Amino acid sequence: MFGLRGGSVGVSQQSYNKSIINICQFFSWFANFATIYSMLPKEEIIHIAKLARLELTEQEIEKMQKDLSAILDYFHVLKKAKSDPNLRITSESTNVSSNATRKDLVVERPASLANNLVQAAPDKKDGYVKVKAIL
Amino acid sequence: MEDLLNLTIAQLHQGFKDKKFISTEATRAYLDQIKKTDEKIGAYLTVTEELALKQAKKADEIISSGKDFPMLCGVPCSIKDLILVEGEKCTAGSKILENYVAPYDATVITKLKAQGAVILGKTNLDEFAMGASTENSAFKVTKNPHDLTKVAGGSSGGSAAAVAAKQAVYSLGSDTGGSIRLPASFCGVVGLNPTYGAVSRYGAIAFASSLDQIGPLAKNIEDAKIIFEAIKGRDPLDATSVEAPISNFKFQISNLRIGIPKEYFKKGIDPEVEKIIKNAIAKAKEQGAKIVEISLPNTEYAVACYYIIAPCEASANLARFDGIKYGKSVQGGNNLLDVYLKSRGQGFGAEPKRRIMIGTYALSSGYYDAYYKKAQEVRKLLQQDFREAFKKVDVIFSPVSPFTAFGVGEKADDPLAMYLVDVYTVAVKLAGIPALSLPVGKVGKLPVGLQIIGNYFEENKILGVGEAMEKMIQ
Repeated sequence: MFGLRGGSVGVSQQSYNKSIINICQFFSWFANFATIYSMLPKEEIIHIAKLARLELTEQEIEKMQKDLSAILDYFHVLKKAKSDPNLRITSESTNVSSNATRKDLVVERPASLANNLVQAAPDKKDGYVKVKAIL
Repeated sequence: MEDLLNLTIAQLHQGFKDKKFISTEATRAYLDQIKKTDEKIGAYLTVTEELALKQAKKADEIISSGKDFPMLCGVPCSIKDLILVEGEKCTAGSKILENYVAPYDATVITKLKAQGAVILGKTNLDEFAMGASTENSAFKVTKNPHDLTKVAGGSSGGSAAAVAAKQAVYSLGSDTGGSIRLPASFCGVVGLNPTYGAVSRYGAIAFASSLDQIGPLAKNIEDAKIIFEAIKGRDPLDATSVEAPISNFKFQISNLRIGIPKEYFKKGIDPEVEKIIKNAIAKAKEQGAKIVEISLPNTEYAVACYYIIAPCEASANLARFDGIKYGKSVQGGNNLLDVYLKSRGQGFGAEPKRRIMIGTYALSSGYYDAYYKKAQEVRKLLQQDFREAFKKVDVIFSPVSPFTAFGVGEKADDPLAMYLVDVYTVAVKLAGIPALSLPVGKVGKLPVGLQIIGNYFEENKILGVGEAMEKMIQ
């Protein structure tokens, strides 16, 4: 469904030969991106929006095409980063490494909490959250 | 009453003890100040006057009983509007939660309430904490109290501005990519981003769960320390929270090794900001601290890494806003899918939509390895950078931001330019280590913050160094 977005890689890597922190320079790259780079196809934006369950207006789709294309191009800087087989992804990506579990027991909470939670739902009836028919 | 607004937590506490004034007086002084100044500044989304006066009355009863009372008892504060305070609105700066009333207290709020704290109101933020200027709030832009034409920084801009404008003694904010430190730097207050896991996130509306962390914004280091002590600790309701092995750290400035990352002083930093930061470093050196140039070689990847990981997590976290369980719901479509599409389409603002789209794209089949997996690998490299650095130094000094507060509207239409504001703050978050912002000077009217970065759970060390620096700068 998606074509890999080739073509954009070469230029952005050349650009990133200089420091990322050079923000002023970055603005000029950014201006160039908007004009030089082929944008993400409109159909792809619509497809992603559907996956994300977002209804976008025609205007939003156009703006998203521009913004996402520039942002995704910017991510190509990561291709320069060292690739190390030891850097495998583990479930923890933070410093919190031990499992935190609790005993499998019923925890008593005030009835008012359940009521508060149901009250927060936009559509409810008899203490239940109402949902449109799925089928 | 003017002088009540200048007092720190410790000074108010002593004043209550000595019966110089009561909490209700202090609370009224702050409520008056909010009324007088907030139309221009726009720090608050909700002022909880009734709650504040009720809490102040209760605090006064505790204080007048003559027994010892906690440090935060009777001290008026504000809370970023993505932290739940039971019975009060909590919007996360979003239309999708415009009328949402918090059904319970966040753990940090339970802890503040147990101390007898007084909550003045809920402060403005970028929608779902996504932004560096508070311009992404669906409700209003918070202005910088030092210059109303400039932004307050973000995303905890309301919290920083409230403390700077004496509309609260302190505030709780949250930091995902720099959201406490950046506004603290722009508004000239102290802001502490704790180690990931040091403070419970239960009851904070989630943005990026491997990065989000609640922390204090305060008038000085001493206050920040008092607040951190009150909110830290393991919480059974947040599985990632830990009982931090936070030690009491005693040091002499002459034994301190301060690392200066060379990558943070390359081109792109405003020369005036650089001068102020270098001046602060020079002062530490005069006192005998050893200044060591260090390298954080993967710095240039931090912003890209962050803007993949945070949106990926955000796209999953924000899936809960479906128009069914809470918040805005647009009915009238044909089926359940229409409720989802329309509620989210109309409820979210431009920035959350952008990040949901980036996250969904980066996690979608065919792109996962190139973006998300790669970013996770780079995250490990950034963690290694800091681990190596802390073998050679005790703390790291850097700027918080390459420039002072920028103009309202200056970057509002350019999402990528806004992302780059985070260049000095995101690496710390990806590593999960603590850092604070301390005001160390001004360019014209606008404050400049020094970032003091520490190793895991070394909050007391960076606070101690911050306190020493605070004395040197004054």
